[in-house]
Amino acid sequence: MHNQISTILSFKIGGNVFALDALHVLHILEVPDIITRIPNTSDFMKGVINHHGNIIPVADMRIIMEEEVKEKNKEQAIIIVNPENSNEVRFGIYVDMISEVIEIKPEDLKETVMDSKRGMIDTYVGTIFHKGTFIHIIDIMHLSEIIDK
Amino acid sequence: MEIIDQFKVKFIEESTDNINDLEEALLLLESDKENKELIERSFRAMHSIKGGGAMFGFNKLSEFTHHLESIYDSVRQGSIPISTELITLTFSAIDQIKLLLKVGDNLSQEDLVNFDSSVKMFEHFIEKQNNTSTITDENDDYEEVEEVENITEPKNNNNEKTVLISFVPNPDLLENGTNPFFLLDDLNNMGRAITLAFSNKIPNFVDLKPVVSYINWQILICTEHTINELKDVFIFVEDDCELHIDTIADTCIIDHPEVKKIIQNAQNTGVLMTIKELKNCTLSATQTKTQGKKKLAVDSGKDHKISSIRVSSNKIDELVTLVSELVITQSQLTLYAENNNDTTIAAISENIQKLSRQLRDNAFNISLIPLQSELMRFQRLVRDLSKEQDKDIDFTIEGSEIELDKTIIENLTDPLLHILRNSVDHGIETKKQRIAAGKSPKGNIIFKAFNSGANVVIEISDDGKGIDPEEIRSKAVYQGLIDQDAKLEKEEILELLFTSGFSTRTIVTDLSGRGVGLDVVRRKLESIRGKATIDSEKGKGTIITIRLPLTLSIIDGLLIKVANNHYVLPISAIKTIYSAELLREDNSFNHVITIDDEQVPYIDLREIFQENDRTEEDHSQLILIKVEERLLGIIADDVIGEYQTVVKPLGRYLEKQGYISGASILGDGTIALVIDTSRLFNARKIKKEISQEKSTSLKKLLNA
Repeated sequence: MHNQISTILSFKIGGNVFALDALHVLHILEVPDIITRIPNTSDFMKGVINHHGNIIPVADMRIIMEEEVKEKNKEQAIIIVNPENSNEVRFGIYVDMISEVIEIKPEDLKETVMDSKRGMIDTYVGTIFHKGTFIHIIDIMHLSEIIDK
Repeated sequence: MEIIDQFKVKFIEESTDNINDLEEALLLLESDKENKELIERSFRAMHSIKGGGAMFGFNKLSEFTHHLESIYDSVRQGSIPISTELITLTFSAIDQIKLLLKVGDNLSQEDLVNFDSSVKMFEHFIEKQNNTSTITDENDDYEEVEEVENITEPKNNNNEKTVLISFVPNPDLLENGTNPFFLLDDLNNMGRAITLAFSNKIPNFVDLKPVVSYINWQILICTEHTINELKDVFIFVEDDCELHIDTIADTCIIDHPEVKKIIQNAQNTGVLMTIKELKNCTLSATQTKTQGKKKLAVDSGKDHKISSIRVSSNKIDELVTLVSELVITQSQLTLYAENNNDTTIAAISENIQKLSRQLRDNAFNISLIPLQSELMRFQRLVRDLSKEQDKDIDFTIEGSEIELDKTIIENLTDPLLHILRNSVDHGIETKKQRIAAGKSPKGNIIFKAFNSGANVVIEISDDGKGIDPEEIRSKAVYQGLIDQDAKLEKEEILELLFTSGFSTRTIVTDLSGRGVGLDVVRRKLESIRGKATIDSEKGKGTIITIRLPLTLSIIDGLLIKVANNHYVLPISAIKTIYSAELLREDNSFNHVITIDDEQVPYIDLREIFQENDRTEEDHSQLILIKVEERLLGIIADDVIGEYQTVVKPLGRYLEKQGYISGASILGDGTIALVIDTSRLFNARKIKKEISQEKSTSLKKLLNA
């Protein structure tokens, strides 16, 4: 059913490489100086940013994936996604590094096997082996549900 | 979207308007059963729904409305009187129409049964009416005969008369898919007609546009049908043409030689025939000189100027968003001018500020709609429920012209329906009970809306049996919501009705049902920054007051700072700002401070927002806020100043957090969070509840 994914955007969180369906990616931004924290929200909710006059919540993927939260650096980025293809529902994810855009063929997609369950994400669309690394493709709807909780 | 779908959507929209119109007319008819104009209005609405339905593939709808229409046709002609029974029947039919409009022809099995039974009800009704009305019919005939006898001139048989119809279509008539020939055919079927086409407006072939209608018609028709029936032929094009229908003579005069001459003349010269010349030549043969004039007067009543336009709500939303952006950008410009001491830019920026403020006010005004649009549903609800429960209720509406933001109105309907339902179900007593209580048997529910500062207030009051605070109190004690010995003011007891633990089903049945889902009502209202309060006197009635903001997206705020974040407090909630020195004195204890001999609870925003504790170097200030007569002190780090701001939604992912209702972008592009003051009070309540819970569980332990 996920065969329709043909282009993915891969990024690093800690030592692992993950990816999202590129069709749901709206923008890639540098991490701004200020992310306004919202009181009484989950730990992974970094806060909100102003993107062209819109208020966008940002979730820290490193906390969601239970990776070490490193000091802010130039390689880190925020990916703004719209899981439901609507302008009303948008959020950003804070990642350690943007890797690349990859075209994939359905037959490359293998079932994801993680050595141990890490973080809050327990289902993946699948995994591909690309240039010597495993890239786990995150289900955007699943991620959206986690952030929505 | 396919074109036909677009038309369908349009049809549904228009039909909804027609239904609203119909409902309104019916409600008015109920108190003024003889009003011809209202009957016409109802009929017209039905006719439009029927016609449109057939055109856009709502065949069931069209069939159904046809039955309804035939009853009202008889009503129009006076053979069936308007009765409460008929109105009730019509209302149920309207519900059926609404359903058909929603599902189209794809009715479920259950719906089909309903559909058939509704149609049967109509048939039954018509049958019954026919049986009773034959007698009156005969009477009518008899009177007419008398009339004829009074007029000494012999009258042509069968009420045949001559009517001149001038039909001047607007150039865009054809664009709506109307074929004028069908209309002419319809007329020809109604009597002997002479049709004249005036083609002198047709331009040279080069300039001819095939989609534009150039031809005007005049039809001289000899018919038994009434003017109204002739008019119905044009019912779908009446807005797209200039139409005059005038009775020329009470007899058939088409064959009159003078008339023939006039027709010939008109055909040759291309000049329209006038009523005057036609009348002149037949003056001797007719008696009713004034009739034509009279009809004209009726016709002109139907002409109306369009005072509003229909714009898709998306376009308005977009406009409002753009204007909000403009306001933000403008304040950035002002900031830039200030920082650079550039007086030229500062002057320009000030002008832009003035303009953008006006533009903003205008744009927001456009997005306001009058309450009126929803009131029909309320009237319907009260009427239906009171009939159902055999209660006599006078429902008065005041302030229907009050305007509110579209989003607010959308979210307001359900809570209001809920409150009204409560008033009818549980507030107003039965007739017997009312008489026993020494009240008039007719109950009153008053719906009142008015402006109060930047708020709109809606009051729903009834003169029913009211709420007994003692009863609620004992229930609340039984439920463990309050302590046995807790001393509560009446307001505090009534407030319990809004707590979510209170309105469970068991209580509802015990406690005469009041308080059903009032917590839901309150929550729903809170989502649009509204606030509901209740006051009631046992035996006298209940009043529920709802306070709403005019618009959701702009507020006058006070910019404050807590830790590293900026926050905005709505200015309307702020009473006084004190220096924090007040706190250092020994007049504060256990989160309560004494200000002007008054004990005021206070909270520290750092604590509520889970920030680090204040250090010695941090400033702090005490802001006293007042929401719904309740005072609360809040401690912030800094007060920066007044700030008018556009509130933006936080979006779905941040809906569940506690105290922030939106965000606003400051001049430098950073974000300030807008605090929802009424939820700050809840913060205190939650704390209280927790401590109360602790004490009750302690008590339980001790008892065990």
